[in-house]
Amino acid sequence: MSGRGFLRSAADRLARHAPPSLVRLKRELEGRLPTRLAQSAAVIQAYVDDGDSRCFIGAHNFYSVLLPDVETEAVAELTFRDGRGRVVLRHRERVASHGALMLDVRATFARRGIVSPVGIVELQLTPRHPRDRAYRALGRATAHFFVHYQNDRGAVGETHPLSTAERENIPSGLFTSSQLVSTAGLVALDVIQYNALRSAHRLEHRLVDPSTGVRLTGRTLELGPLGAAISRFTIDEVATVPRFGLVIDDLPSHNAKPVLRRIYENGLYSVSHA
Amino acid sequence: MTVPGDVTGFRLDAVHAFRVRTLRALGYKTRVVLGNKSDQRAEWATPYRVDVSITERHEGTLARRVKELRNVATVPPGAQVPVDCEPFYAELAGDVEIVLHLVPEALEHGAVDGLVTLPRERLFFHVGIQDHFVEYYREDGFSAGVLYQSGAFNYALFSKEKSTLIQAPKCWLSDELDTFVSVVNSSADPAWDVVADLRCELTDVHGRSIVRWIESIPPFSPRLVSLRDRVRGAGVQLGAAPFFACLHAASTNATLIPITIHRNDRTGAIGLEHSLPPIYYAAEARGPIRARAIEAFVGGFEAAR
Repeated sequence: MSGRGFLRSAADRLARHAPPSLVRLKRELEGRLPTRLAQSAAVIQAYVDDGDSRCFIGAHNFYSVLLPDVETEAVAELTFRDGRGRVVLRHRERVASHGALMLDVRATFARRGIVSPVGIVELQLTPRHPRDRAYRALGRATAHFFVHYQNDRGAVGETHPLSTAERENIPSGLFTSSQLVSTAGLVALDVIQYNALRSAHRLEHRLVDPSTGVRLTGRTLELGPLGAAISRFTIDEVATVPRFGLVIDDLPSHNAKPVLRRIYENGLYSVSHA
Repeated sequence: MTVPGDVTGFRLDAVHAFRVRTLRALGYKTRVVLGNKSDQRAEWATPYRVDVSITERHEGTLARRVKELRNVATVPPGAQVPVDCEPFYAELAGDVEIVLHLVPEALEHGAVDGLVTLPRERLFFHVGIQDHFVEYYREDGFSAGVLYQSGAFNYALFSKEKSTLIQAPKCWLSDELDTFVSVVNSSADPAWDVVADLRCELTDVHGRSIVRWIESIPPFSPRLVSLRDRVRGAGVQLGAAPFFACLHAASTNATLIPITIHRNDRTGAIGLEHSLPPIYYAAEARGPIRARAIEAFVGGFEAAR
């Protein structure tokens, strides 16, 4: 057990067995001590850099917006992983008070000779003085950010994150998308899926006829820990229906929903959360 | 979570609704996919009857419902139903806000003059049970959409809160790329007549202000603002590479529905996304914390004018 794990375990035992007066005293003392900032684990999104699509990251210093009476410079830590979940890049950057972060994934990868067509990017954003008591007013902080998509043929898109890389993440079972995908003009559908688990995960992306629930086609993915992959479906597989739905037999974790990339005859695409 | 007490005299057509804008201004038609997850609580599972209303307000006039359509679709529990919105506003000019009222049929028998009394827990369940999907499409098949939910905004029986705080680090601007912010000042109350004042500011990565302005948004009238026009108006020269800016905006008199829309001029392709409310970034960013953030933003905005 790590030192931090031992302390947490001891604290749990104390909370269970100590007299209430002692527990109250401990809470009061903690309230006066500089303690760690309450933060969610890093926030996760998928990125694509496959020679057609390119991505940009956009984030901002939300601490200075939500706690305007405290001047907060923050440090952003971005971790890029490849499709197998291996770290390919760690990037740290200071974010000014009321400032923001913009990162061009294609240019950044090119400068470092990184080739990774799909993967996940994690962001953690931490104030320079994270033990400052002022931040306690915010409760648990979560470093949400946006991913902007483009290709040279003039497609454009944007996604927000849905997951964090919590160690406690567990598979969340059957998922049915709230979208129905029209087949008009469509040539392909990419289901861009990440795995927010620290363990390997197997799932099936299943396209179904929404009027009957009948399975039209499917792809099974074997995702490594914190890995990502794309299921490509072509129009031939779904051409018998005017629209179809997406079902996933076992989502990797709560809200680890994929991004749908609809690809059209003219080379354009759109992206959206499933 | 148990929410005690009953809510009395609540509009049945506001128990669950999806509020969308149309997008003729960018050359798109509108359709939606409506879901029904009321079967997540078996005792409250109910089909939704879909009614449609369109409310307009012109300068100097009161808001009025110009169109009401009843029973355009039914969404059974556990089902998803696509609805093309084009026939609903074909004869109206410009862009409009369309409200799709998903009326729980199980509550209908208890309604008096369109009003119901129901436990607060059941009301909250129906109001926030799910997202729906709005999709903008063209004749060539291209479409882009976004999932979101729209509560019973600006309706005192649901919430006393009437304010908005937008944080959008997702403005990408170039010679051929624009980002629009779409804002709808909607309400579950057709008599809602507040013109929303939305103070807007675009900042660069260093937190420096690029431009500030105020949008005055009449109720039920969707607004579409080109952020590229704003940036260019402030003297910024744009080129082929995307220029990044962060949009901050706040309203102190209305809860608004903001969506950002990117558009490539050359192809007309669009991409949409909603913003995230403050509690997504910080669990306690509600009540006084949120109010102070809005106050500080508005104070700084006014001081800089």
